[in-house]
Amino acid sequence: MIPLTDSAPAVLASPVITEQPPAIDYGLLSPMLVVFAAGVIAVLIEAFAPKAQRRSLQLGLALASVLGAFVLTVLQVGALPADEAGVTTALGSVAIDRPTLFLQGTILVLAFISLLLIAEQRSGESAFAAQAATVPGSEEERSHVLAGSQHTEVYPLVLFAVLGMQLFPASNDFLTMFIALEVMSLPLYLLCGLARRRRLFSQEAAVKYFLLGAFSSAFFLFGIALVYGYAGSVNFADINEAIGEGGSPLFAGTAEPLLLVGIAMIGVGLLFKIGAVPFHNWKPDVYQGAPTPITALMASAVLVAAFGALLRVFLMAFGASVEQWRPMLWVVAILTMVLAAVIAVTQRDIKRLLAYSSVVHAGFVLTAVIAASPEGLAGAMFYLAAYGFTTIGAFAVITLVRTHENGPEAADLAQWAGLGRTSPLLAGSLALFLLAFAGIPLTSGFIGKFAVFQAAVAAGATPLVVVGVLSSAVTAFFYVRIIVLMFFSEPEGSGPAVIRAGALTGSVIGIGVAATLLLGVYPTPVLDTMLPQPVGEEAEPTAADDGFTR
Amino acid sequence: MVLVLVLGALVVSAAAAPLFERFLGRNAGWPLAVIFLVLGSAIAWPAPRVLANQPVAFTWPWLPSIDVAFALRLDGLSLLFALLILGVGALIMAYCTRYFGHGARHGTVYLLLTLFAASMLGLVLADDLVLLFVFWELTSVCSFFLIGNAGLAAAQPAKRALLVTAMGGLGLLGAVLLLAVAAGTTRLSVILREFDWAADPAFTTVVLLLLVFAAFTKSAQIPFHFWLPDAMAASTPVSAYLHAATMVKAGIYLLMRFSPEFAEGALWTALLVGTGLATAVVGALLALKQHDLKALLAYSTVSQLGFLTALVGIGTPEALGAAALHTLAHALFKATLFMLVGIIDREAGSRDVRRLDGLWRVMPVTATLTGLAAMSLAGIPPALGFVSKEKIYAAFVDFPGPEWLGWLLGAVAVFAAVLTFAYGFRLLHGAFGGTTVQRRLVEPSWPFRTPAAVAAVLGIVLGIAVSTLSLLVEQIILDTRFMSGDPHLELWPGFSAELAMSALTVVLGLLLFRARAPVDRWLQRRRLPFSGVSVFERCYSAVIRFGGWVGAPTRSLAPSVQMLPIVLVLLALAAVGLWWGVPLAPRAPGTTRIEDWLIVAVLAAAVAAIAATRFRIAAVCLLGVIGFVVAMWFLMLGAPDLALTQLLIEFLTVAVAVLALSRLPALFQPGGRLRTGASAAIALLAGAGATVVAFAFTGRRGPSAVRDYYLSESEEATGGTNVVNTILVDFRALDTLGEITVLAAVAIGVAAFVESTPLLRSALQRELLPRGSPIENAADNAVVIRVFGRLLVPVIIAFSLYLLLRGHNAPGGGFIAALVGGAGLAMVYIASLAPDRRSAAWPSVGLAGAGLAIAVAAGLIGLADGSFLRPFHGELELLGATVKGTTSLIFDVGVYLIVIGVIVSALRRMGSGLSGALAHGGEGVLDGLVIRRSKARPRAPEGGKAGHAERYRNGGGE
Repeated sequence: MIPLTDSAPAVLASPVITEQPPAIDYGLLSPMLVVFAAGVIAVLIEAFAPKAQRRSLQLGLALASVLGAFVLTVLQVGALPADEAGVTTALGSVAIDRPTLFLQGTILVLAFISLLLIAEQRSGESAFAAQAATVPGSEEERSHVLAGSQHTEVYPLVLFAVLGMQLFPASNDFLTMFIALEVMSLPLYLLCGLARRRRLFSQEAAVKYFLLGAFSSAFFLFGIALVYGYAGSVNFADINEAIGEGGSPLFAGTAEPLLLVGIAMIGVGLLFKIGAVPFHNWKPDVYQGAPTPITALMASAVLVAAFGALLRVFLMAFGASVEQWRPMLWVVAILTMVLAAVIAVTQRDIKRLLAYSSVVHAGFVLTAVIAASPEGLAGAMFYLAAYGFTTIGAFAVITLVRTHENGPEAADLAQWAGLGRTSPLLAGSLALFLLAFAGIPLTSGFIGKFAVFQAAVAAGATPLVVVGVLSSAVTAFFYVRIIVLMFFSEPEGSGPAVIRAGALTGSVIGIGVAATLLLGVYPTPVLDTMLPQPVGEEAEPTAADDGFTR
Repeated sequence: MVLVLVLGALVVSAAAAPLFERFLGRNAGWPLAVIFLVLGSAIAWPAPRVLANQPVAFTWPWLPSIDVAFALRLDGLSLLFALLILGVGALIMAYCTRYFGHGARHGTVYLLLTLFAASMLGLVLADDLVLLFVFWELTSVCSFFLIGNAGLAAAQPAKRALLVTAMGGLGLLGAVLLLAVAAGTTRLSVILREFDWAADPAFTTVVLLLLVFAAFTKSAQIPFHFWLPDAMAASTPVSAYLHAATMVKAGIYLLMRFSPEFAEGALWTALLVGTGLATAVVGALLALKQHDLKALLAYSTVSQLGFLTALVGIGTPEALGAAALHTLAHALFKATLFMLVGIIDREAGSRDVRRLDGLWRVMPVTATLTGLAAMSLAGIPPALGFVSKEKIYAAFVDFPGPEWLGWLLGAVAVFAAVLTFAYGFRLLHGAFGGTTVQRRLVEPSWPFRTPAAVAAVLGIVLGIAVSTLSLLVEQIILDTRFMSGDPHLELWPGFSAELAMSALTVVLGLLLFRARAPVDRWLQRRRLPFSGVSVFERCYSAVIRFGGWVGAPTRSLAPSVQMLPIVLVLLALAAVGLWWGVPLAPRAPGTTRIEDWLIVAVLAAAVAAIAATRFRIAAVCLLGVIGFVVAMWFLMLGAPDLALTQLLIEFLTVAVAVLALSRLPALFQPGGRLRTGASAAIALLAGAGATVVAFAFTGRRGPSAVRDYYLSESEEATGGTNVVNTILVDFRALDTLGEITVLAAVAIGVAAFVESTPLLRSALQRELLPRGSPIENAADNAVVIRVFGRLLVPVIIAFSLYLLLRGHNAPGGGFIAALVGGAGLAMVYIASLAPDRRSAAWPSVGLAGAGLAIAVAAGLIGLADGSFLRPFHGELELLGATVKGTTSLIFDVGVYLIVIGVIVSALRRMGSGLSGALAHGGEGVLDGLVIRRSKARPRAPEGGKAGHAERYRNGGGE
């Protein structure tokens, strides 16, 4: 009800009363629409389908829609105009360009794999609580468990979250981006609280994630308001232009502090989502508490989406004020890489450890953001895709290692001792994932790290790369510790109980291993065809040549 | 092409190694040895071309997008190392067949050894920086697994070895990145020849330091030397192959490879010569005091690597030639010695010189072979080691600097060589000399001895026929300095300074050996106050402690602690904003009045009281006060609609909060003084910051164009004069429909929640109060409100309907009317004796559904005029009075019903389970003071409460 237009009626024309519906290219939006429609249908299935068939219906629908959306996304790659970065639609609020399509495609693939993990059941037991509304440990809970209740609502929730993830890196103005942020986050808050075991942990994680997430969203909104005050628009292209012209005419070019504080606040909101220090506090608790398949989804697809948005905002909308925000991200990136690596060393819970490792990796990708170049963009996107596959694989392994038969997941690292002796294949896959995290050559992690660091050095951020390399050393430290533990240590007692991987989990781990190796040994197809060509010899790189459409 | 084939063949044989092992058992080494030999000859095939300065090259675009190619190049330097890798590899593979016992599985070792050979070969052939780094790291990883594979005791050494070498690898990565970006290519041969190193001395220095760091960690130079003796936990073939002959030479290879650029630099020379000689001396001293033969050899390797480093540091063509020659000599004699020590260990069951004695009688062949290798080590003619030592002395004496420095360095080298001589003889004498104790030992089988014999004899033969190596060494000089130099390789070079030094070395060495008993006692007493391993472990645990300290805040259970960074960032931003000064439009006149400050003062007081109170209920009430004051403020500013909404929301919030409070402890948990103080300070600052920002941004703009539009258009377009209401139900009716749909969904959801599980039914329990407490009986307490409620509720409902009807033209409307009505219902609810039972019949979902249906129906009426939700309005003569009417009123009724539905739903949810408590004598439930959780707490699930406790107990390690 509060009008959003700013002061000085003399400057602004009378409000535009929209008479005609906006022209929307539904073809361009089809990948998102497919997922959205599937989500809505899934809710209906929840309401009307008989209990016995719900899970198979839901799973089939979710997988089919994500796959369909992926196919549509791939088809759009060919449909983009060859000489331009991409097109915008829906009144310029959604940008479909090559970075968007690459990120969306990655998100959909990762979501598909996560769905496989989410759907895994062992003797009717999924990773989710039988009935989340029951008090942990209560009689009701027990009766629900005995009755074999299931939360098939998980699937529509995941679909809505995926919709948010698709829109997040594609949004071309701040309001759309905010909506995407919330559409993505709200289902996740809920999903985090649904773990079957250690439910108090899970609920604590959900509440914490929600509180902190809401808090940072408020920052994001406040930042939007300030930037709007500076630029007179929430559209990225307009903001970019306004920065080039020194702000909206209202302030006659004196409003830079407004912009800077706005950038900082928007930065806080986005950095929270990627979990950069000092906004990382939620990550360990949430990764630990959430059901492991959901953790896998968050650590892969959500991270990709959040970084996609971050890249678009900083490289495109704020691309003209690189010099202003770069120092801020320098500080954040250094803090992220150093502190998170150091804290990670002390972790004894495998999921917390991977959470901190994800924070460190966010720091590495930030160095590519700081580069603010097409190479940086390409490097960051490759890194995200590579990291996503690896991390899902790692979490898939975690779901299989239990403290004892039918027990909860073996959280404490000490319980992993001797895994390499009892299940060499599983331990070998995890070792591969860990080596990829550490950036050891011939794994995807190395190529990603190299691309990212190279872009940063090329942009003159050599000290940052030095810090990055040092923190890689520290991270190598704890990855190696796990490998030593798995292969060269005596198991405690009878050792961890490994449950046999079902077809779903097995294929997730298989995909993870294959992707990690393929992207590490021969990443050229991905680097060449999916990414915007970073090497542009023919044209001088201009400010507008950042790979994003406007 | 031959290069790729060889490399590929090695990788394939690595994959096949477990297969061989499955069929042949430990004899799998034989086919592998043959493969190594064949591949070695294949590599040697183009040698004539290579030695004629025509390197063999191969390029395949691997990652064209980041300009990285799979480029291999075989020049003289690479040829030497490649031959070493494959030749020594073949010997080791053959040796493995007898070193390993029957029965146990060795597939992994064979696989890793072959894989290592492939990586190492790739490393010396790579002509691309990235490729070089890739193989560099792979050798570290192979070494890690090979060491760790040796058993439980090897886990920690394996970890240390990997971390040290991988750290150096990261240094290499840094150098690679810098070079790749600066030179614009990653092709090593191009960078070495064409890159302008002189352009940026600082850059060159950084690259130099990174490369030297990488080489020093890999080649175990002080202070990184500790990992190499540590790594002797690995099995003997691994030690012989990786940690004596090949992998540790990778650092030397790197230094030689980059010599063309750096050899002339003072920093390079100082670093390499200084560290190298120090390592040579310290390594030799430490070797001299070892009792374990394998440890002796490990320190000896450290010492010899020091010599090599120093030689590369000198950088003259002669020095580099000597380094190449000594690399070969060292690989031969050190691999031999390791293999022989392995034989002794296997046969005699010990490697300790104090327990081995007089083996020469029972194992004469082994003793002879050891003697040959030791000759080479000690530099006694005609061994190859003698020639290389001569060359080393010559290089030191001809040091390109002041003459005295050359002699000084030469003296240090002689000192180290004397020590080398002494420990060489200590080894020989320790194992074979003295009286024979174990008389029943016999020579090992010939296949076990042959590999060592081949290497030992080769060390002598090559010494005699050293001139055959001239071509190779010449080519290496050309490759490493880009200038030709004559190595003068002959066994008898004639009388010269270096011959004298050699003679001196032998004499002093013999003296030292004679005095071995006192020297040994003296050495054993000398201990460094720290060892490399302990320093490493101390750093390791320091990092872990530091991490625990840094990570402490994130372990907090309280979200407030975790919010701290975000709040602090806000403060920092506000401070920065103030510092810069945000330009603002001038404040419109008359926007601030005295009364405003009065309100602010009241608000501040209420906030302070909230912070001070310990009672939850008081805090909620004070929060209500703030809300009411704000509502008053809205009223003063002329926004009755807003004020009304705020007021009602406050009222409902308090009602709902009271219900929630009944489930919480009465008091806030007391915090520590420090924590309270810190929280207060941060909260005050944050509040002040927010206030300043809010004040700064307020009152700086005039009426907006949108406002003017609505004010002028509203009556004509909709027939209503209450702009707020017309926006809701006319202009933006579709938005409102969306919102109320969501509200209806919420109502349904909450209702479903109530029905699905009776939460916490048994968790409430009354606490014992003193008899006669005035608040003991909640039923009695509520009498007044109950009586008044009965009277007031009909009035409230009627008033709410009135507000609904007049909404279009005066403050009111569906939302506000529903809030008023909801307040009435809340009153009934709270005052009721059995609220949840009483409200069970209230139709919440029905109300919401009906409301939604009505709203949609109202929208459909609009279709008559061509658009969904278009309102009709007009006047109606009714009973002589003119009644203005609009179809949007129907829509508003829908809104009204839905909001009521939500409120009812929420009330029932919050109050469920209360009547049970009230029924037991109706004792204090609603005042929130006397409720506590039942002692019979629900059993925590596994990992629940207990898990919490455990997690934070374990927190020390977190």
